[in-house]
Amino acid sequence: MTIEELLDCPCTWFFDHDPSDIAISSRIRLARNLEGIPFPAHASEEQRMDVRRHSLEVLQENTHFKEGSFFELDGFSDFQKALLFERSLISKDLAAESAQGGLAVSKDLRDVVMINEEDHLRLQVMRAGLCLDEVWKEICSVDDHLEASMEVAFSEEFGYLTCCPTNTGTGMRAGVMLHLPGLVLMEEIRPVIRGLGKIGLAVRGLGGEGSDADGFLYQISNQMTLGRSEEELISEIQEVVAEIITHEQNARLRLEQSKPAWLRDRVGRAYGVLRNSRVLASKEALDLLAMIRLGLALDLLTWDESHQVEQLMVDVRPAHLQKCAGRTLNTEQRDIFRAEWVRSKLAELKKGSRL
Amino acid sequence: MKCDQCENSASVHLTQVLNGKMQKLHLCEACAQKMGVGQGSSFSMSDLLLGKGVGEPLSGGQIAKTCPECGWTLRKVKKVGRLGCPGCYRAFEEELETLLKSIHRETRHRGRRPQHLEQKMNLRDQVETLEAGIASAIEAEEYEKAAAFRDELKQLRAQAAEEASHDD
Repeated sequence: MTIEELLDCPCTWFFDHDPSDIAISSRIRLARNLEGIPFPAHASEEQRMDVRRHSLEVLQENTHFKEGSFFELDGFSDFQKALLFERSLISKDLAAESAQGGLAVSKDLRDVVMINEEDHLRLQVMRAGLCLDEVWKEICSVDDHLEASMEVAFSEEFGYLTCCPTNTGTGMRAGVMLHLPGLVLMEEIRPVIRGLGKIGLAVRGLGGEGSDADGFLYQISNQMTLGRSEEELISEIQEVVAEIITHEQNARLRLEQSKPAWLRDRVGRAYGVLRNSRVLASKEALDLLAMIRLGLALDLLTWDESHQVEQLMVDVRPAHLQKCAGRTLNTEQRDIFRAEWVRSKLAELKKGSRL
Repeated sequence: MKCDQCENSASVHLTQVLNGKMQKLHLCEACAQKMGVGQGSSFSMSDLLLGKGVGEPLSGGQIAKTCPECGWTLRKVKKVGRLGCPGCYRAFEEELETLLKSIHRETRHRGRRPQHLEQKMNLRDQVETLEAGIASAIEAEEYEKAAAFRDELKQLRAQAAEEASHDD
């Protein structure tokens, strides 16, 4: 697949569910390095080239990457890298610093290996819904194959050796992205976030580290990587996430019972703004679309193609928006085009309302 | 009060208890933002502390310790909060233990291993179990049982030696 073809494929992990699903996606990444070679930031250009060449060769033999796509990132434009980032196929760091960077993507776009990011290899597997166990099995199988073909840096004491000591040990970050409008609207999200911090879990926004929770989307993942097995860490996250989902469902019920008019007002206003705005910023668009997603989940709104709301949540992000426009736009132009794009998409939809 | 990272005046103040010791950080607006402080709970204190030297203060000799594989000094590791190469873990093993403990509250890996090591480790675990079995059998004066364990152990050791010769 060429990069253009890849960027035309829909991101299935983002659509493969119903608006009422609270768990959007499950993701695990493993940091791996090659023994005897400095970590990418301190390796020579030649060493980085060698790591990339060798890794891509090995990955081409990996059954998970059969009919997959393999790229060297050096020649990619900032725009292409921004699109890859918005699709979670590369990290912010790799998009910013991609000299001798590499990327392997499986045919279904769910398995990814980033090369010469902070670590030599960053394996990532992503699926729609709450399914960390399956994702774990899958990533282990990718990892087994890699480890059989390359000498991975590992010590009995410290486990997998990574560039940053916050990843040492399992090298694993396992996370679930959740849509939590009920908890936000009932003003119950803060204690949840505080509680998660206390038990060593991290909460991040849509864009990963350091990002705000636009669109009521929260990623919950393990913070610690040493001293506990992957299975223990994963089962803890699964348990905690299951509990948060129950909280979210309860919050939605209470919202409907205690503030029915207010809830309908918020959903109705969100729709009104999206349908009529002329200038729409990215965060505002995401927040309003998230409110629509809640409306669809609670049957206050009915759309013939309910996954359109998720499609729009992807479309309104800066790089994808420019892809929709087919041209480069500055921030101001983007806000105007975003409003135009959303209005036209909403006008095309067959929809009903029980507000 | 001055920012811990630059010369500007600090406006963000953080406190965290680590290993029973209170750690304080004072940052200016710009440095705090650069480090992701104040953006929800996304920020990790450990990243900051890495650059600050956690645990016991290091002596001049320690700080100049150098990784023979990549040439990084411990001073550089402390400053950047990252390691230079896998060899750094061997070179700075002692100091890293304190650091890793402050981040993960643990210092020893439990979990997945590369498959070829997994087999080796299983063998080692079995040897250890048998050795302990022999000792307790002798103590209980169950000599037949001890002899059976000993034979099993002999076999296992032969197997291990054979595998080791293949490794070469």
